[in-house]
Amino acid sequence: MVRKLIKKLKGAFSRLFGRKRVIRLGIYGEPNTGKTTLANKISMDWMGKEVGIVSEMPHETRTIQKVEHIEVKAGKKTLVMNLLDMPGLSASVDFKEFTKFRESVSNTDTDFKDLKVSDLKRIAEEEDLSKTGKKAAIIQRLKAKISKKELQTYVKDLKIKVTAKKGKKISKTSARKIAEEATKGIVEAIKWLDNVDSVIVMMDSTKDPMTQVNIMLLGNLEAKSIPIVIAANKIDAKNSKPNNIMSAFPQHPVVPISAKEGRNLENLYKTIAENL
Amino acid sequence: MAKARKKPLKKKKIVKRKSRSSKKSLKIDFISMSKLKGDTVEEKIEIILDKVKIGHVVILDEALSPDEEAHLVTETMEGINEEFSGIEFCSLPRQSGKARILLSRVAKLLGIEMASPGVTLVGPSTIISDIKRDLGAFHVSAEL
Repeated sequence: MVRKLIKKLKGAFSRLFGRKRVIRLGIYGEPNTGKTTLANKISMDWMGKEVGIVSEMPHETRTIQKVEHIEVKAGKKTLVMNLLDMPGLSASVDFKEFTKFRESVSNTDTDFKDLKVSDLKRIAEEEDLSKTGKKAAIIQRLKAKISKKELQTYVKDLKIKVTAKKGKKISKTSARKIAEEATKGIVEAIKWLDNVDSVIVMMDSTKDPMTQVNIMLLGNLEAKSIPIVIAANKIDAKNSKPNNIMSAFPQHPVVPISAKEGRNLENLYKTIAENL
Repeated sequence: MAKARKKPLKKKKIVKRKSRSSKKSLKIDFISMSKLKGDTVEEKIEIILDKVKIGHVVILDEALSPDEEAHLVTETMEGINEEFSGIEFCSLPRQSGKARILLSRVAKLLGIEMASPGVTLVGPSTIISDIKRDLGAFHVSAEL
């Protein structure tokens, strides 16, 4: 109650002096619910940069990823926030599970040699360069004129398809290291519950939401009077059932979204702003 | 006199009994609220995790508070190694009446810790494979 009162007073003072309050918005949830996908989407849309690597491997995000001072339009309001992408919460971490996966490789970091000759020719044409010669020759000419960052922009603008890079299989030694980092990440994320102003609880709408980790997370946030918005993610999937989440947690606002496709994010921002 | 033919002895089937040590058994510890009364959160979690780490499933006749659950997860994470990969748990509080809610609020104001009635199950994640939960019950699948 005292916490709520202090927050209201802070908000009133900020409004009085015309200063926008920067909120610390944490994205919490179980592993593989789409936390980093959402953080990347928000950060790309409003800041033009990504937060972290997205992969199928649970506990890919093992440290808190921060993006500071993002200004997001939420209806008539503007949300100014420091976005915190948290490691996935779970009560078990088995190092053997990680050996089933491959190391993550960032596919946003496309290199010249990853592109097909036809695509390289398209970029060369845009840059008024000669399209003749072999792949190596075209790459040499392009490298002399454009930077790697500009290449990423061309890949995005010309909608060039790049084959996903494959990392090598995770060894037992690496898996042990990942497990160690993942456990530390979970402890860190729980500790940070005391330092966030608002939380998006990510839930996978294709799965059963009534897990003890979700219940524990919501219980702790409620006890600390931290505003909660549940994002029922993966509505792009055929077997998505956001209504299950709504009926499981009727006491909290639930916004069905697709972080991957960026669907219904405006509604999510609006609900966050209304709940502050 | 012709000797009576002896019937050939039937070979006895030898059934090897499995030695007790090769049989896997599920060990469950039921711990009453009164046993943990007066213990701090850390002590309570330590009692639970000491048993879970040796492969036991622990059942308490109280529901852990969200803060205790967060402690349980944190302590579990700090104890993870190659032999112990974590826990599966479920806590089901009993619906409290108005009088009980009032009593627990008064106790909180006075700084007295009150255990909330209900049931909690904590087991090693290598044994508890799945916990399905609905409003008034939870269903556990275990593998040995």
